[in-house]
Amino acid sequence: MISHRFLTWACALSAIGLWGCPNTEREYDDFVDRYETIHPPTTSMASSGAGGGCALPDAGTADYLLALLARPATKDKPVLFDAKVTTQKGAAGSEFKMELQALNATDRTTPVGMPLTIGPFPLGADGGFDAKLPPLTVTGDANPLTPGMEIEATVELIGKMCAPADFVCGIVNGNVTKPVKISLNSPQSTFTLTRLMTPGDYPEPPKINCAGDLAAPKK
Amino acid sequence: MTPMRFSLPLSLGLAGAAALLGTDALAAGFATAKFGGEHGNPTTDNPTAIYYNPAGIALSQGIRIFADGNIAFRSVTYDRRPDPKAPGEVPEPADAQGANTGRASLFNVVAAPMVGLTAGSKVSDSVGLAGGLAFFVPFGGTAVWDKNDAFKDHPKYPGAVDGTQRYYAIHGTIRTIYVSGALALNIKNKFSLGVSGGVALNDIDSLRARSASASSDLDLEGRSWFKGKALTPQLGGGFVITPLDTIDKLRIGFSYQASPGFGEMKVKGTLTNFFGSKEAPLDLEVHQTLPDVFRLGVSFRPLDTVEVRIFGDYTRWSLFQNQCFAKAGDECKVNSDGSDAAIRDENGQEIKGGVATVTNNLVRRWRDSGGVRVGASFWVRKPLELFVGAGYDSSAVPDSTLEPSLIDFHSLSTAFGLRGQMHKNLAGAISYTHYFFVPRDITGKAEHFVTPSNGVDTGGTYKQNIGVLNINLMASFDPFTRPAPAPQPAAPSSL
Repeated sequence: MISHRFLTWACALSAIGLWGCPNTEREYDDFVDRYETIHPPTTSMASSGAGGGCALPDAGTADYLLALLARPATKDKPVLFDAKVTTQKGAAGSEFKMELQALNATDRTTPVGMPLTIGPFPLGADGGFDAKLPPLTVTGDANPLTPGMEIEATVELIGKMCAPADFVCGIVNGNVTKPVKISLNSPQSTFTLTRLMTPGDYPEPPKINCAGDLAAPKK
Repeated sequence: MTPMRFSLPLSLGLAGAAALLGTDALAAGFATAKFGGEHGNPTTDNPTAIYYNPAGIALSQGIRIFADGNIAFRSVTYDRRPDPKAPGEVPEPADAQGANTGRASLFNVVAAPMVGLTAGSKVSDSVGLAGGLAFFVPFGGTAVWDKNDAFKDHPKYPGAVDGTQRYYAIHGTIRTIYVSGALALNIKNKFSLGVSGGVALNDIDSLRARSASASSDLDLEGRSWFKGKALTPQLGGGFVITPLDTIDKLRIGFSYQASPGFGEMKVKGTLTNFFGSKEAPLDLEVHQTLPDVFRLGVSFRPLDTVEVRIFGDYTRWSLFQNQCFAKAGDECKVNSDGSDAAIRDENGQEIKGGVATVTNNLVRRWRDSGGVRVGASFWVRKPLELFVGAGYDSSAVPDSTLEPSLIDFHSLSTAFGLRGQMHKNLAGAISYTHYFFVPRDITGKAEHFVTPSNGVDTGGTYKQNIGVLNINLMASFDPFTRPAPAPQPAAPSSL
């Protein structure tokens, strides 16, 4: 087997006066270098939707819209879930759990796929949480980017939940493994939980990050 | 000569040749079978016949060693004008005008070698036998696109410097190399039959811009790089009829070359994506089917000093429907809308329990193509041959799936050259062929497919020019035929 490096060398040597030797590896590396110069790789860090002091939310259950934005893949098309969030007192203090139901990516209202209960996750004294979700599988109908393609991901939600908890937000770490492999950390992915005044009455377009940026309107 | 002295230059030569095999489509699709110049056709008897029509090698006697090189000078421009309403098309930001629209260009000079050897001899008064071995490149396309200097060291968009065509091609090669042996039989100098077979090394090395959602959003731009190889069998055969008094007077040749691998091949390799962070390469297979080729040719010598030729090919590019990427061992089938046939049926209905298998798919849907060529040779003096030729090749690529990585056009070409016998054992030829390609404007005509076959719009204007310099040398000698005995003085008659 003739090695790639040898072929490259031989091509260059043999092609004196010629142009046209492809070098895909070098071009790929050059792009990565340029990208990482502009966007230096970041390490995982917690973020908070609320600054300053924090009163933990009262125990109870409320309806939310959960928006997960896989930032490396999209700037404004989140995966949406109807989320029933229950805050409660656990053995180690405050905690919360969620019942998630994916929503159709096109109409953003129709439940699709099987519901999922996750948690409980502890809430810190400052309202902070680091929710490592079990491996997540989302039906293709909820996929706003590559419709029809099932999503598999490992997801970690890092944020802060403070009373009145009408709007909770933070960052998402982890990896998508299907339909394409991407790291959710760079550019940093985000999530929001927006409380619903009426169950099923979802804000349109939903917020996608702590800055309050909005998702692209549904089509 | 020690083995070392022999092997080093040979290794360098082969490596250099292999490295330079990135050729440019000189016929339809990415077919590049133009080695031998005007003398590479289904009636020829030089070693290029091993590909064009293996029966032809039985028309020659002795040993022939043939070395041929095509040096192609190729320029392409692509003026990208995407449909703003196309799926995945995102308007250019104000600070990046010209990043995704406008002109991209390339100028590549690429060489393609062919080396062949044949040996033929009479085994009886009426039967001749020949064998041969050759190395050549019947399919190949390489593109190294120019940079867009307006975006060099851009502080915000690292991808745009690679040109407006980058969503389909930055650097890339698709290529099939044959190492082929041949056997041929000649009967009574009237009919020759030949077969060829061997191995085909198929490789793909392609880098393109891509985002995880297949959009042209500059903020999400990443890279997708596939590199892989497949070793497949190859087979061909043909016949030549030489019905007149000499084998040069009239030749009618027909040949067939099966598609490499005799159908769908799987090119095994790795896909390396970068969508904001480095990902481990994925081991994948690209499922694709290359075409088979039918060839027919006639050469006729009305005078000893004149030969006219007409030959053509019919290449079944309609076999090249998709380049479908899947994990090793998985099926890779797509529906007409581009969706994964493992999870959706042709009507778009979900298949219960279906598991997606297609990672990515490049829809080709090429069509059969044909080419025809006429040429003539004039022997000014017996060792010096002047030749001319002209031809037409149809395009294999429809507007709906034309894209910058594999460009194709209807083309006309003209050629001229000369061939001389420099020594009783050595002949050489040099010729130049210029290809004129009919520009294509497919703005608004590109078809869009759903995941996992989706990509950004390929609309715009495509133009190409190629000039090809062909040089070849052929050494020939005949150790098999005994020289005729010298005439003896007549014996005195005795009474």
